[in-house]
Parts: sequence; C-alpha cells; structure tokens
Amino acid sequence: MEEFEVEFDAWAYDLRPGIPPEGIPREQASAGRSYPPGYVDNLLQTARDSGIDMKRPALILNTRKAHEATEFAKDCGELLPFHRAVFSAYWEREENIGDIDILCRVGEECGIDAGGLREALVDGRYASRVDEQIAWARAAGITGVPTFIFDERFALVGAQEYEVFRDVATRVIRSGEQEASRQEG
Amino acid sequence: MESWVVGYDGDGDVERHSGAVEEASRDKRQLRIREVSDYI
Repeated sequence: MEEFEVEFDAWAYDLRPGIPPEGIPREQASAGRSYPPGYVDNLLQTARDSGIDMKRPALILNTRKAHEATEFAKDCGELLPFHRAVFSAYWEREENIGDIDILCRVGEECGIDAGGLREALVDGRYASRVDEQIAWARAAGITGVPTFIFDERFALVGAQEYEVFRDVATRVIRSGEQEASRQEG
Repeated sequence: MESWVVGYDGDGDVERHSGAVEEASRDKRQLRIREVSDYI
C-alpha cells in the first residue's frame, strides 16, 4: 500500500489445532470438505496472475515453530521478508515449514542469524507470545484467515483486491481524523 | 491556518508554507495493519 505509511504486524493463528510435527496428508485434512467447482483452479490462477507459483502442498503442517520464528524475525526487524519467505517456502516450494532446519535456512536467506533463531526455537523462547496471539484471536472471534485488523478498529477478512484494502484504509483513516477533531472540539 | 514564513533563521534563508507541509504529510497517511494468519 504505497500511498499509505503502514505499520505492519503479523500475529499467529492456529488454523488446524493438533497437527502432529510430521504433518498430515492434505486429503486426510480435507476429508468431508469440498470446494465449489473451479474454486481451486481459480485460486491457483489468481496466484499466478500475481506472480506466485502456488502449489497445493501434499502435507498440511504444524506451523507452531514457524510462528515462533516469525516473532524472532520481528525482533530482528525482518518481519515482512521472513513472513513472505515462509509463505513462499510452503506454497511455492512445498517445503516443511514445521522443520527447524528449514526455518533457519529461510531465516538466513532473509539476513537473520540462523544460530540465534535455532536457539530461540529449541528453547521455545517465543512460545508464550504465540500462545497469547492465538488466544487473542480466539477471544476476538476470528474464525477465518487471513484477517487484517486496521488501527484496532476494523477487520477485513480474506484475500481481497487492492482496491478493497485502499477503500477500508481510507475510511478507517477518515473516521480516525473525525474522531480526533471531535475530541479537540 | 495557512501561512508563509520567509526570512532568515540564523543559518540561512528560509521559506516555509505551513499549508504545504500539512499537505505533504497527508500524502502518506499513517495506518496500523495487523495480519492474523496461519501459514497453511
């Protein structure tokens, strides 16, 4: 969003609680669910149109360590590149982002100290922070991801067109300005 | 209120237009966005 000065943050969500460390086959995870005809093809095409070579990884993984690594990246000032790189590792290269070795390599590629990251992940240094984020999302009633929270006042759910983001951002900023001027007056 | 300041501030000539400063800061409006997501 180049026309806005965005302070970006990423918080963890546990989309599929209880996934074992080795992951589970996608078919098993999707048992009993079905998408409308053409939904997946459309999704993959939309990704391609955006320059993302999206696959459908065979395994659904436990993302706990990936979220902890994200917190480490945040503290290193490398949140955005690392966040993107983890999505890319899983969805474009089908890598096991539940694996500490993979996360350290991805981190290193983003300029993060791999040794420090490994130590933090083995120690579980960021576990409580991730727990708090997941608990917050549950308490806030968030049931779909991604959910984008604008200035703690508005939630936008799902991957939306840029124009939708711009519209919401503009409205949130305008309503903040109106509120500020009411308080001043 | 829009105003112009033209003069010398001790270090050099200055020319400020307060309205212009406000417009410039408005070009990039600040916003906090928190993405709540999972990687799978």
